[in-house]
Amino acid sequence: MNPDVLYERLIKPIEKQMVRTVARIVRDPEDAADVFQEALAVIWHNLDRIDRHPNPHAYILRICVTRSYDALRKKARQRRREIRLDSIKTMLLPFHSRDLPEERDRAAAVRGAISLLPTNQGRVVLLRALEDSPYYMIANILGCSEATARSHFSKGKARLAKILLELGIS
Amino acid sequence: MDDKKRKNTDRDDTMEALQETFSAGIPEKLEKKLREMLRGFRQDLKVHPYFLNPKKYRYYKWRGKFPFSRPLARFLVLTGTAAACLVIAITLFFDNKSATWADVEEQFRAIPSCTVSVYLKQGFMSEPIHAQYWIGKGGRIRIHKESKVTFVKKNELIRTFNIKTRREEGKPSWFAYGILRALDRAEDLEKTTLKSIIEAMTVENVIDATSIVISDEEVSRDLLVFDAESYDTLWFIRVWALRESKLPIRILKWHRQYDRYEEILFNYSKEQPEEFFNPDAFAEKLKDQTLTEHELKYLFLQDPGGRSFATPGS
Repeated sequence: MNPDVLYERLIKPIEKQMVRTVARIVRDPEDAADVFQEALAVIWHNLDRIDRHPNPHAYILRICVTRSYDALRKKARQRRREIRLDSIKTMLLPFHSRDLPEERDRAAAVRGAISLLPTNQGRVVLLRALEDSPYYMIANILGCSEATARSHFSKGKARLAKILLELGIS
Repeated sequence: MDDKKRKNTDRDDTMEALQETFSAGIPEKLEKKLREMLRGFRQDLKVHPYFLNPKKYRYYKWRGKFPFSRPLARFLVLTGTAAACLVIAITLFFDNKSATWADVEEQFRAIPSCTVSVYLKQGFMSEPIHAQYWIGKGGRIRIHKESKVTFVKKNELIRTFNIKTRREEGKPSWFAYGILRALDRAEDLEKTTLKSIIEAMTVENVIDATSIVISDEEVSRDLLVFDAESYDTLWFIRVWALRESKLPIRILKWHRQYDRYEEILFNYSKEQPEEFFNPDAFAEKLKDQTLTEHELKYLFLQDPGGRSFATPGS
């Protein structure tokens, strides 16, 4: 078995997609590099499983999306903790209605709102928003049925709309 | 509804906000950095164990999953194993203790028959005297001592024969008397007890027995050893029993003052037939001159190994 052949077959066709997924979700260059490194480590460790997988590209993209989404949520948790420490007043307010410099930025607010979604809904919303991926592809990447992917997206979007409305974004 | 139609319904404010957020271009510097990482990954693949040695890689993967390779899991596994060993050791220890003298007595009562060989020494320098008796169902005993064969049933002396003179005798051997005396004190005449075997001949009133610890671990796995007590404290009585079956195999009695010594050995190999304990059947054969003394002594005895001739002590 040749490593180059394997790379050409598994990674090369989705190189661009991997980079875009991580960079767009995480946005912060340093965090993005860390997330990408983590994703590559997971791929390295599960190389034999990916090689045997019926849809290896979907498997790799799922690793990238999951790692990025986890980083997004981790970042949001960190911010919430910082805010709580910063001002006791914010403890009395719901997270998404506080007035912070970051949330004035629409994109940052949307990211923060997505981090509040349940994991599966958050991942489907991200995949749909990133590449406008069709449901069958999302279902493939997340390893669920198309109907489940649709359901997750519908619920996730509704919850996201509510959060954004409260933030005064939409 | 197909994907195109669904896309149209998705085009609302939320979707627009999402598209805006994630449609921003990627900084060139970041993209370059990530692609650089991919190149590094490609280079590293050449030394991946999956390519170098797939068999070893399977082991490496398995080892990674095996809990022993993780520090916390290793600690938990080792602690768990140590705790399990401790529990087993404690269980075995208490299990060993649980085999009491009463268990041995109970097991002995449960067996239908057995053969008892007794070696008697009247002094330190004297030669041992051998006597033997067979215990059967219904309180029947056949006692051999030198040339005398005595038949007992439910603690009643039935008949005694002398195989040398080939005549019936009125008096049994003193050895048979000793056994009868011990059986006299027994509550159950149907079954000879271990206590009555110990008390036969010399010792009186065995109180109880306590197990003693054998220093040899290998031996103590199979054997139980008890030291019995008597009112006459000068008697030293030790009983060896099998740990699994709890049946006695050897009794040693020694009087410290008079230097009397008895060694009793047990054999549980085969239950003897009815006629072996029947004095009338024995009396009929006694006059048969074709039978030797040895043949008369072990008349009707069935060898546990299936031989045509009876082995002494079997």
